[in-house]
Amino acid sequence: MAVRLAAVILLGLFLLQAIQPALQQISSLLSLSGIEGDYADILLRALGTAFLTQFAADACQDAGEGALKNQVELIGRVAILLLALPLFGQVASIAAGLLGK
Amino acid sequence: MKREKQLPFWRLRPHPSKGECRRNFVCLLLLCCWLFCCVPAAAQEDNGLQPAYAAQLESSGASALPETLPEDTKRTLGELGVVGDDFQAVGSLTPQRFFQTVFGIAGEQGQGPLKAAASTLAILLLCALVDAMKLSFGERPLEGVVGIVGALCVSVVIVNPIVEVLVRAGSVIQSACVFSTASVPVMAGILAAMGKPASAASMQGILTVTGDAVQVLCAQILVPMLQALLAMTVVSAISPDVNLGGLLRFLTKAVKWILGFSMTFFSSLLAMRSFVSAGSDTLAGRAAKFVVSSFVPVVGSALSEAMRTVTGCVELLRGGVGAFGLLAILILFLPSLLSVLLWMLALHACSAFAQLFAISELQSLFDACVQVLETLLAVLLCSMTVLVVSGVVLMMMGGSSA
Repeated sequence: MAVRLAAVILLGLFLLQAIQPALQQISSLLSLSGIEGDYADILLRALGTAFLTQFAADACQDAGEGALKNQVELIGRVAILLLALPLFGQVASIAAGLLGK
Repeated sequence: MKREKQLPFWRLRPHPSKGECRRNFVCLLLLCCWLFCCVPAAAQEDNGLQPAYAAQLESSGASALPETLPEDTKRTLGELGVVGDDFQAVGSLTPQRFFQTVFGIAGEQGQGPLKAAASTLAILLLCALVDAMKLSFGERPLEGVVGIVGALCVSVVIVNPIVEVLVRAGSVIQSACVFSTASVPVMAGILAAMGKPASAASMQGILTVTGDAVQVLCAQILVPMLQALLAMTVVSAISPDVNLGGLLRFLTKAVKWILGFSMTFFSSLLAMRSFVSAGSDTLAGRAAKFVVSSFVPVVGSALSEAMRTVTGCVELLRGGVGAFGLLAILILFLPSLLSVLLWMLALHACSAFAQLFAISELQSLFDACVQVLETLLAVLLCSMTVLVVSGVVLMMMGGSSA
Protein backbone atom coordinates (compact mmCIF):
# COMPACT_ATOMS: atom_id res chain seq x y z
CA MET A 1 0.00 0.00 0.00
CA ALA A 2 2.80 2.45 0.93
CA VAL A 3 4.70 1.50 -2.23
CA ARG A 4 1.59 2.12 -4.35
CA LEU A 5 1.10 5.49 -2.67
CA ALA A 6 4.71 6.48 -3.21
CA ALA A 7 4.53 5.43 -6.87
CA VAL A 8 1.38 7.50 -7.42
CA ILE A 9 2.99 10.53 -5.75
CA LEU A 10 6.14 10.23 -7.86
CA LEU A 11 4.14 9.84 -11.08
CA GLY A 12 2.00 12.82 -10.11
CA LEU A 13 5.06 15.00 -9.53
CA PHE A 14 6.50 13.86 -12.86
CA LEU A 15 3.20 14.78 -14.56
CA LEU A 16 3.21 18.23 -12.94
CA GLN A 17 6.74 18.82 -14.14
CA ALA A 18 5.77 17.72 -17.67
CA ILE A 19 2.77 20.01 -17.97
CA GLN A 20 4.53 23.01 -16.37
CA PRO A 21 5.61 24.53 -19.76
CA ALA A 22 2.07 24.11 -21.09
CA LEU A 23 0.63 25.86 -18.02
CA GLN A 24 3.14 28.70 -18.43
CA GLN A 25 2.18 29.13 -22.07
CA ILE A 26 -1.49 29.24 -21.14
CA SER A 27 -0.79 31.80 -18.38
CA SER A 28 1.12 34.04 -20.77
CA LEU A 29 -1.71 33.72 -23.30
CA LEU A 30 -4.21 34.71 -20.63
CA SER A 31 -2.14 37.71 -19.55
CA LEU A 32 -1.60 38.82 -23.17
CA SER A 33 -5.32 38.65 -23.89
CA GLY A 34 -6.02 41.04 -21.03
CA ILE A 35 -8.23 38.68 -19.10
CA GLU A 36 -8.45 39.56 -15.44
CA GLY A 37 -5.93 37.62 -13.34
CA ASP A 38 -8.63 36.43 -10.94
CA TYR A 39 -10.43 34.33 -13.54
CA ALA A 40 -7.30 32.51 -14.66
CA ASP A 41 -6.32 32.06 -11.00
CA ILE A 42 -9.71 30.53 -10.17
CA LEU A 43 -9.52 28.17 -13.13
CA LEU A 44 -6.01 26.96 -12.34
CA ARG A 45 -6.87 26.49 -8.66
CA ALA A 46 -9.98 24.53 -9.64
CA LEU A 47 -7.87 22.34 -11.88
CA GLY A 48 -5.32 21.73 -9.12
CA THR A 49 -8.04 21.04 -6.55
CA ALA A 50 -9.72 18.56 -8.89
CA PHE A 51 -6.44 16.76 -9.50
CA LEU A 52 -5.58 16.50 -5.80
CA THR A 53 -9.11 15.42 -4.93
CA GLN A 54 -9.02 12.68 -7.52
CA PHE A 55 -5.64 11.52 -6.23
CA ALA A 56 -6.92 11.35 -2.67
CA ALA A 57 -10.12 9.58 -3.75
CA ASP A 58 -8.19 6.97 -5.68
CA ALA A 59 -5.90 6.38 -2.72
CA CYS A 60 -8.96 5.85 -0.51
CA GLN A 61 -10.44 3.43 -3.04
CA ASP A 62 -7.21 1.44 -3.20
CA ALA A 63 -7.24 1.27 0.60
CA GLY A 64 -10.75 -0.16 0.45
CA GLU A 65 -12.37 2.91 2.04
CA GLY A 66 -15.31 3.47 -0.28
CA ALA A 67 -17.21 5.78 2.07
CA LEU A 68 -14.11 7.90 2.66
CA LYS A 69 -13.58 8.14 -1.09
CA ASN A 70 -17.10 9.51 -1.59
CA GLN A 71 -16.59 12.05 1.20
CA VAL A 72 -13.28 13.19 -0.29
CA GLU A 73 -14.92 13.69 -3.70
CA LEU A 74 -17.78 15.61 -2.10
CA ILE A 75 -15.33 17.88 -0.29
CA GLY A 76 -13.41 18.42 -3.53
CA ARG A 77 -16.55 19.41 -5.43
CA VAL A 78 -17.61 21.81 -2.69
CA ALA A 79 -14.10 23.34 -2.62
CA ILE A 80 -14.16 23.90 -6.37
CA LEU A 81 -17.63 25.45 -6.23
CA LEU A 82 -16.54 27.75 -3.39
CA LEU A 83 -13.54 28.82 -5.48
CA ALA A 84 -15.88 29.58 -8.39
CA LEU A 85 -18.38 31.53 -6.23
CA PRO A 86 -17.23 34.97 -7.50
CA LEU A 87 -17.77 33.75 -11.06
CA PHE A 88 -21.28 32.56 -10.22
CA GLY A 89 -22.04 35.94 -8.68
CA GLN A 90 -20.77 37.81 -11.73
CA VAL A 91 -22.67 35.64 -14.21
CA ALA A 92 -25.84 35.91 -12.13
CA SER A 93 -25.57 39.71 -12.08
CA ILE A 94 -25.00 39.77 -15.88
CA ALA A 95 -28.04 37.56 -16.46
CA ALA A 96 -30.18 39.61 -14.06
CA GLY A 97 -29.06 42.82 -15.76
CA LEU A 98 -29.92 41.44 -19.19
CA LEU A 99 -33.36 40.31 -18.08
CA GLY A 100 -33.95 43.58 -16.24
CA LYS A 101 -33.15 45.63 -19.38
CA MET B 1 -12.78 122.32 -130.80
CA LYS B 2 -11.52 122.59 -127.32
CA ARG B 3 -11.84 119.42 -125.30
CA GLU B 4 -13.41 119.88 -121.86
CA LYS B 5 -11.07 119.01 -118.93
CA GLN B 6 -12.34 116.03 -116.86
CA LEU B 7 -13.12 117.11 -113.28
CA PRO B 8 -12.42 114.71 -110.28
CA PHE B 9 -15.49 112.96 -108.95
CA TRP B 10 -15.70 115.02 -105.76
CA ARG B 11 -16.08 118.13 -107.85
CA LEU B 12 -18.74 116.60 -110.04
CA ARG B 13 -21.34 116.93 -107.41
CA PRO B 14 -22.98 120.29 -107.16
CA HIS B 15 -22.11 122.43 -104.16
CA PRO B 16 -24.06 121.18 -100.99
CA SER B 17 -26.82 123.27 -99.60
CA LYS B 18 -26.94 124.78 -96.09
CA GLY B 19 -29.28 122.05 -94.78
CA GLU B 20 -27.02 119.33 -96.01
CA CYS B 21 -24.05 120.95 -94.37
CA ARG B 22 -25.90 121.25 -91.09
CA ARG B 23 -26.92 117.59 -91.21
CA ASN B 24 -23.38 116.46 -91.94
CA PHE B 25 -22.04 118.56 -89.09
CA VAL B 26 -24.51 116.96 -86.57
CA CYS B 27 -23.57 113.46 -87.68
CA LEU B 28 -19.91 114.24 -87.28
CA LEU B 29 -20.55 115.69 -83.82
CA LEU B 30 -22.48 112.62 -82.73
CA LEU B 31 -19.74 110.34 -84.01
CA CYS B 32 -17.14 112.28 -82.03
CA CYS B 33 -19.28 112.08 -78.87
CA TRP B 34 -19.70 108.35 -79.27
CA LEU B 35 -15.99 107.75 -79.77
CA PHE B 36 -14.73 109.94 -76.94
CA CYS B 37 -17.47 109.61 -74.31
CA CYS B 38 -17.66 105.78 -74.05
CA VAL B 39 -16.06 104.31 -70.93
CA PRO B 40 -14.91 100.71 -70.39
CA ALA B 41 -17.42 98.64 -68.47
CA ALA B 42 -17.66 95.02 -67.33
CA ALA B 43 -20.67 92.93 -66.35
CA GLN B 44 -20.98 91.78 -62.72
CA GLU B 45 -19.54 88.26 -62.16
CA ASP B 46 -22.27 85.63 -62.07
CA ASN B 47 -21.96 83.32 -59.00
CA GLY B 48 -24.41 80.91 -60.48
CA LEU B 49 -26.84 79.21 -58.12
CA GLN B 50 -24.68 79.60 -54.96
CA PRO B 51 -26.56 82.41 -53.18
CA ALA B 52 -29.94 80.90 -54.05
CA TYR B 53 -28.70 77.48 -52.91
CA ALA B 54 -27.50 78.86 -49.58
CA ALA B 55 -30.81 80.65 -48.99
CA GLN B 56 -32.82 77.52 -49.80
CA LEU B 57 -30.52 75.41 -47.61
CA GLU B 58 -31.22 77.69 -44.67
CA SER B 59 -34.96 78.03 -45.23
CA SER B 60 -35.53 74.29 -45.77
CA GLY B 61 -34.00 73.44 -42.37
CA ALA B 62 -31.45 71.09 -43.93
CA SER B 63 -28.55 72.99 -42.32
CA ALA B 64 -29.66 71.74 -38.89
CA LEU B 65 -29.68 68.06 -39.92
CA PRO B 66 -26.04 67.30 -38.97
CA GLU B 67 -26.76 68.35 -35.38
CA THR B 68 -29.16 65.42 -34.96
CA LEU B 69 -26.32 62.91 -35.50
CA PRO B 70 -24.20 61.44 -32.68
CA GLU B 71 -20.67 62.83 -32.17
CA ASP B 72 -18.97 59.66 -33.43
CA THR B 73 -20.86 59.82 -36.70
CA LYS B 74 -20.10 63.53 -37.15
CA ARG B 75 -16.41 62.82 -36.56
CA THR B 76 -16.38 60.01 -39.12
CA LEU B 77 -18.20 62.18 -41.65
CA GLY B 78 -15.60 64.88 -41.01
CA GLU B 79 -12.84 62.38 -41.80
CA LEU B 80 -14.62 61.70 -45.10
CA GLY B 81 -14.63 65.41 -45.87
CA VAL B 82 -18.30 66.11 -45.12
CA VAL B 83 -18.20 68.80 -42.45
CA GLY B 84 -21.32 70.44 -41.06
CA ASP B 85 -23.93 71.28 -43.72
CA ASP B 86 -21.53 71.03 -46.68
CA PHE B 87 -23.74 68.50 -48.47
CA GLN B 88 -22.12 69.02 -51.86
CA ALA B 89 -18.88 67.53 -50.47
CA VAL B 90 -20.54 64.09 -50.65
CA GLY B 91 -20.05 64.22 -54.40
CA SER B 92 -16.28 64.51 -54.00
CA LEU B 93 -16.01 61.40 -51.82
CA THR B 94 -13.57 58.86 -53.29
CA PRO B 95 -13.79 55.06 -52.83
CA GLN B 96 -10.22 55.05 -51.52
CA ARG B 97 -11.05 57.47 -48.71
CA PHE B 98 -14.25 55.62 -47.90
CA PHE B 99 -12.59 52.21 -47.62
CA GLN B 100 -9.76 53.71 -45.61
CA THR B 101 -12.30 54.91 -43.07
CA VAL B 102 -14.10 51.54 -43.10
CA PHE B 103 -10.86 49.67 -42.41
CA GLY B 104 -10.03 52.12 -39.64
CA ILE B 105 -13.38 51.47 -37.95
CA ALA B 106 -12.92 47.70 -38.42
CA GLY B 107 -9.51 47.93 -36.75
CA GLU B 108 -10.98 49.75 -33.75
CA GLN B 109 -13.91 47.33 -33.40
CA GLY B 110 -11.74 44.25 -33.90
CA GLN B 111 -9.68 44.67 -30.75
CA GLY B 112 -12.43 43.49 -28.39
CA PRO B 113 -13.27 40.25 -30.25
CA LEU B 114 -9.57 39.47 -30.71
CA LYS B 115 -8.83 39.79 -26.99
CA ALA B 116 -11.89 37.73 -26.08
CA ALA B 117 -10.91 35.04 -28.60
CA ALA B 118 -7.38 34.85 -27.13
CA SER B 119 -8.75 34.56 -23.57
CA THR B 120 -11.27 31.94 -24.64
CA LEU B 121 -8.58 29.95 -26.41
CA ALA B 122 -6.52 29.90 -23.24
CA ILE B 123 -9.51 28.69 -21.22
CA LEU B 124 -10.27 26.08 -23.88
CA LEU B 125 -6.71 24.78 -23.64
CA LEU B 126 -7.06 24.42 -19.88
CA CYS B 127 -10.39 22.67 -20.26
CA ALA B 128 -8.83 20.41 -22.90
CA LEU B 129 -6.11 19.61 -20.41
CA VAL B 130 -8.75 18.60 -17.91
CA ASP B 131 -10.57 16.63 -20.54
CA ALA B 132 -7.37 14.83 -21.48
CA MET B 133 -7.08 13.73 -17.86
CA LYS B 134 -10.66 12.50 -17.65
CA LEU B 135 -9.42 8.93 -17.51
CA SER B 136 -7.77 9.91 -14.29
CA PHE B 137 -10.80 11.80 -13.03
CA GLY B 138 -12.95 8.88 -14.01
CA GLU B 139 -16.17 9.78 -12.23
CA ARG B 140 -18.34 12.35 -13.92
CA PRO B 141 -18.88 14.73 -10.94
CA LEU B 142 -15.34 16.14 -10.77
CA GLU B 143 -15.01 16.46 -14.51
CA GLY B 144 -18.45 18.09 -14.64
CA VAL B 145 -17.55 20.59 -11.90
CA VAL B 146 -14.33 21.65 -13.61
CA GLY B 147 -16.27 21.93 -16.86
CA ILE B 148 -18.78 24.25 -15.15
CA VAL B 149 -15.94 26.45 -13.86
CA GLY B 150 -14.57 26.61 -17.41
CA ALA B 151 -17.99 27.57 -18.75
CA LEU B 152 -18.30 30.25 -16.08
CA CYS B 153 -14.90 31.75 -17.03
CA VAL B 154 -15.80 31.75 -20.72
CA SER B 155 -19.22 33.28 -20.00
CA VAL B 156 -17.70 36.14 -18.02
CA VAL B 157 -15.08 36.74 -20.74
CA ILE B 158 -17.44 36.86 -23.74
CA VAL B 159 -20.88 37.77 -22.41
CA ASN B 160 -19.94 41.19 -21.01
CA PRO B 161 -18.61 42.51 -24.35
CA ILE B 162 -21.55 40.97 -26.23
CA VAL B 163 -23.96 42.76 -23.88
CA GLU B 164 -22.18 46.03 -24.76
CA VAL B 165 -22.60 45.22 -28.46
CA LEU B 166 -26.34 44.64 -27.91
CA VAL B 167 -26.80 47.85 -25.95
CA ARG B 168 -24.87 49.87 -28.52
CA ALA B 169 -26.94 48.36 -31.35
CA GLY B 170 -30.11 49.52 -29.62
CA SER B 171 -28.80 53.06 -29.21
CA VAL B 172 -27.61 53.13 -32.87
CA ILE B 173 -31.11 52.19 -34.08
CA GLN B 174 -32.63 54.89 -31.86
CA SER B 175 -30.18 57.54 -33.13
CA ALA B 176 -30.83 56.54 -36.74
CA CYS B 177 -34.58 56.83 -36.22
CA VAL B 178 -34.16 60.29 -34.66
CA PHE B 179 -32.11 61.41 -37.67
CA SER B 180 -34.61 59.92 -40.11
CA THR B 181 -37.53 61.57 -38.33
CA ALA B 182 -35.69 64.93 -38.56
CA SER B 183 -34.75 64.54 -42.23
CA VAL B 184 -38.15 63.40 -43.56
CA PRO B 185 -39.88 66.81 -43.10
CA VAL B 186 -36.86 68.55 -44.69
CA MET B 187 -37.00 66.29 -47.78
CA ALA B 188 -40.79 66.62 -47.93
CA GLY B 189 -40.48 70.42 -47.92
CA ILE B 190 -37.93 70.23 -50.73
CA LEU B 191 -40.23 67.93 -52.71
CA ALA B 192 -43.13 70.35 -52.23
CA ALA B 193 -40.90 73.23 -53.43
CA MET B 194 -40.11 71.17 -56.54
CA GLY B 195 -43.80 71.06 -57.39
CA LYS B 196 -44.64 67.64 -55.91
CA PRO B 197 -46.93 68.48 -53.00
CA ALA B 198 -49.01 65.30 -53.19
CA SER B 199 -45.92 63.10 -52.95
CA ALA B 200 -44.51 65.21 -50.15
CA ALA B 201 -47.68 65.10 -48.07
CA SER B 202 -48.22 61.40 -48.69
CA MET B 203 -44.68 60.27 -48.00
CA GLN B 204 -44.08 62.50 -44.98
CA GLY B 205 -46.84 60.78 -43.05
CA ILE B 206 -45.88 57.23 -43.88
CA LEU B 207 -42.14 57.73 -43.41
CA THR B 208 -42.53 59.46 -40.04
CA VAL B 209 -44.64 56.54 -38.87
CA THR B 210 -42.00 54.16 -40.29
CA GLY B 211 -39.24 55.84 -38.28
CA ASP B 212 -41.26 55.50 -35.08
CA ALA B 213 -42.20 51.90 -35.89
CA VAL B 214 -38.57 50.89 -36.48
CA GLN B 215 -37.56 52.49 -33.19
CA VAL B 216 -40.32 50.79 -31.20
CA LEU B 217 -40.04 47.38 -32.89
CA CYS B 218 -36.27 47.05 -33.18
CA ALA B 219 -34.78 49.15 -30.40
CA GLN B 220 -37.43 48.63 -27.72
CA ILE B 221 -38.76 45.11 -28.43
CA LEU B 222 -36.38 43.00 -30.49
CA VAL B 223 -33.05 44.08 -28.99
CA PRO B 224 -34.26 43.58 -25.38
CA MET B 225 -35.62 40.20 -26.49
CA LEU B 226 -32.14 39.33 -27.74
CA GLN B 227 -30.68 40.36 -24.39
CA ALA B 228 -33.06 37.94 -22.67
CA LEU B 229 -31.99 35.27 -25.17
CA LEU B 230 -28.36 35.84 -24.26
CA ALA B 231 -29.16 35.50 -20.55
CA MET B 232 -30.86 32.16 -21.24
CA THR B 233 -27.85 31.09 -23.31
CA VAL B 234 -25.54 31.71 -20.36
CA VAL B 235 -27.79 29.85 -17.92
CA SER B 236 -28.11 26.94 -20.31
CA ALA B 237 -24.32 26.70 -20.66
CA ILE B 238 -23.72 26.66 -16.91
CA SER B 239 -26.51 24.21 -16.10
CA PRO B 240 -26.39 21.43 -18.70
CA ASP B 241 -29.51 19.85 -17.16
CA VAL B 242 -31.47 23.03 -17.91
CA ASN B 243 -31.93 22.62 -21.66
CA LEU B 244 -33.17 25.88 -23.16
CA GLY B 245 -32.00 25.10 -26.69
CA GLY B 246 -35.50 24.56 -28.02
CA LEU B 247 -36.75 27.83 -26.52
CA LEU B 248 -33.78 29.70 -27.98
CA ARG B 249 -34.45 28.32 -31.45
CA PHE B 250 -38.14 29.26 -31.19
CA LEU B 251 -37.42 32.83 -30.09
CA THR B 252 -34.79 33.47 -32.80
CA LYS B 253 -37.19 32.14 -35.45
CA ALA B 254 -39.95 34.37 -34.06
CA VAL B 255 -37.69 37.45 -34.32
CA LYS B 256 -36.78 36.60 -37.92
CA TRP B 257 -40.43 36.06 -38.87
CA ILE B 258 -41.41 39.43 -37.34
CA LEU B 259 -38.62 41.15 -39.29
CA GLY B 260 -39.54 39.47 -42.56
CA PHE B 261 -43.23 40.32 -42.23
CA SER B 262 -42.52 43.95 -41.29
CA MET B 263 -40.16 44.43 -44.25
CA THR B 264 -42.67 42.96 -46.71
CA PHE B 265 -45.51 45.09 -45.36
CA PHE B 266 -43.42 48.27 -45.44
CA SER B 267 -42.14 47.69 -49.01
CA SER B 268 -45.63 47.01 -50.37
CA LEU B 269 -47.14 50.07 -48.69
CA LEU B 270 -44.34 52.33 -49.89
CA ALA B 271 -44.54 51.11 -53.48
CA MET B 272 -48.33 51.59 -53.64
CA ARG B 273 -48.14 55.10 -52.14
CA SER B 274 -45.33 56.22 -54.45
CA PHE B 275 -47.12 55.08 -57.63
CA VAL B 276 -50.35 56.91 -56.76
CA SER B 277 -48.84 60.17 -55.53
CA ALA B 278 -46.26 60.42 -58.36
CA GLY B 279 -49.07 60.18 -60.91
CA SER B 280 -51.10 62.96 -59.31
CA ASP B 281 -48.02 65.22 -59.05
CA THR B 282 -47.16 64.68 -62.73
CA LEU B 283 -50.73 65.53 -63.74
CA ALA B 284 -50.79 68.63 -61.53
CA GLY B 285 -47.45 69.86 -62.81
CA ARG B 286 -48.38 69.48 -66.47
CA ALA B 287 -51.75 71.12 -65.90
CA ALA B 288 -50.06 74.11 -64.28
CA LYS B 289 -47.64 74.52 -67.19
CA PHE B 290 -50.48 74.28 -69.71
CA VAL B 291 -52.47 76.97 -67.90
CA VAL B 292 -49.47 79.31 -67.66
CA SER B 293 -48.45 78.92 -71.29
CA SER B 294 -52.01 79.21 -72.61
CA PHE B 295 -53.50 82.01 -70.56
CA VAL B 296 -50.58 84.31 -69.78
CA PRO B 297 -50.24 86.61 -72.78
CA VAL B 298 -46.98 87.26 -74.60
CA VAL B 299 -44.61 85.64 -72.10
CA GLY B 300 -46.69 82.57 -71.26
CA SER B 301 -44.40 79.98 -72.85
CA ALA B 302 -41.32 81.65 -71.40
CA LEU B 303 -42.86 81.60 -67.94
CA SER B 304 -43.78 77.97 -68.38
CA GLU B 305 -40.15 77.12 -69.13
CA ALA B 306 -39.00 79.32 -66.26
CA MET B 307 -40.87 77.04 -63.82
CA ARG B 308 -38.45 74.28 -64.76
CA THR B 309 -35.49 76.58 -64.24
CA VAL B 310 -36.62 77.54 -60.76
CA THR B 311 -36.80 73.89 -59.70
CA GLY B 312 -33.22 73.37 -60.87
CA CYS B 313 -31.76 74.99 -57.78
CA VAL B 314 -34.10 73.03 -55.54
CA GLU B 315 -33.05 69.81 -57.29
CA LEU B 316 -29.45 70.60 -56.39
CA LEU B 317 -30.51 70.89 -52.76
CA ARG B 318 -32.54 67.68 -52.96
CA GLY B 319 -29.59 65.73 -54.33
CA GLY B 320 -27.19 67.08 -51.71
CA VAL B 321 -29.50 66.52 -48.74
CA GLY B 322 -30.55 63.07 -49.98
CA ALA B 323 -26.97 61.91 -50.53
CA PHE B 324 -25.93 63.27 -47.11
CA GLY B 325 -28.83 61.44 -45.47
CA LEU B 326 -27.90 58.11 -47.05
CA LEU B 327 -24.22 58.50 -46.17
CA ALA B 328 -25.05 59.51 -42.59
CA ILE B 329 -27.25 56.44 -42.05
CA LEU B 330 -24.56 54.17 -43.50
CA ILE B 331 -21.84 55.66 -41.28
CA LEU B 332 -24.17 55.50 -38.26
CA PHE B 333 -24.75 51.75 -38.65
CA LEU B 334 -21.26 50.82 -39.85
CA PRO B 335 -19.39 50.49 -36.51
CA SER B 336 -22.17 48.38 -34.98
CA LEU B 337 -22.40 46.13 -38.06
CA LEU B 338 -18.65 45.61 -38.19
CA SER B 339 -18.55 44.88 -34.46
CA VAL B 340 -21.25 42.22 -34.76
CA LEU B 341 -19.54 40.64 -37.79
CA LEU B 342 -16.15 40.52 -36.06
CA TRP B 343 -17.68 39.01 -32.92
CA MET B 344 -19.42 36.37 -35.00
CA LEU B 345 -16.10 35.54 -36.66
CA ALA B 346 -14.31 35.26 -33.31
CA LEU B 347 -17.05 33.08 -31.80
CA HIS B 348 -17.09 30.80 -34.85
CA ALA B 349 -13.34 30.33 -34.40
CA CYS B 350 -13.82 29.57 -30.69
CA SER B 351 -16.58 27.08 -31.52
CA ALA B 352 -14.27 25.39 -34.01
CA PHE B 353 -11.55 25.10 -31.35
CA ALA B 354 -14.06 23.77 -28.81
CA GLN B 355 -15.14 21.14 -31.34
CA LEU B 356 -11.49 20.30 -31.95
CA PHE B 357 -10.94 19.65 -28.24
CA ALA B 358 -14.33 17.91 -27.93
CA ILE B 359 -15.63 20.32 -25.26
CA SER B 360 -19.30 20.15 -26.15
CA GLU B 361 -20.62 22.42 -23.35
CA LEU B 362 -18.50 25.35 -24.46
CA GLN B 363 -19.18 24.61 -28.12
CA SER B 364 -22.94 24.89 -27.51
CA LEU B 365 -22.38 28.17 -25.60
CA PHE B 366 -20.43 29.64 -28.53
CA ASP B 367 -23.01 28.42 -31.07
CA ALA B 368 -25.86 29.94 -29.07
CA CYS B 369 -24.02 33.30 -28.81
CA VAL B 370 -23.43 33.20 -32.59
CA GLN B 371 -27.17 32.63 -33.08
CA VAL B 372 -28.00 35.66 -30.94
CA LEU B 373 -25.52 37.81 -32.88
CA GLU B 374 -26.88 36.57 -36.23
CA THR B 375 -30.35 37.68 -35.17
CA LEU B 376 -28.95 41.03 -34.02
CA LEU B 377 -27.26 41.44 -37.42
CA ALA B 378 -30.60 40.78 -39.13
CA VAL B 379 -32.29 43.40 -36.93
CA LEU B 380 -29.59 45.99 -37.70
CA LEU B 381 -29.64 45.30 -41.45
CA CYS B 382 -33.44 45.47 -41.61
CA SER B 383 -33.51 48.77 -39.69
CA MET B 384 -30.82 50.22 -41.94
CA THR B 385 -32.58 48.99 -45.10
CA VAL B 386 -35.91 50.50 -44.09
CA LEU B 387 -34.34 53.90 -43.38
CA VAL B 388 -32.20 53.84 -46.54
CA VAL B 389 -35.15 52.82 -48.72
CA SER B 390 -37.19 55.67 -47.20
CA GLY B 391 -34.50 58.15 -48.16
CA VAL B 392 -34.06 56.70 -51.66
CA VAL B 393 -37.82 56.78 -52.31
CA LEU B 394 -37.95 60.47 -51.35
CA MET B 395 -34.99 61.22 -53.60
CA MET B 396 -36.38 59.25 -56.54
CA MET B 397 -39.75 60.92 -56.26
CA GLY B 398 -38.15 64.28 -56.99
CA GLY B 399 -36.12 62.82 -59.86
CA SER B 400 -38.21 63.46 -62.98
CA SER B 401 -39.69 66.89 -63.39
CA ALA B 402 -43.04 67.02 -65.16
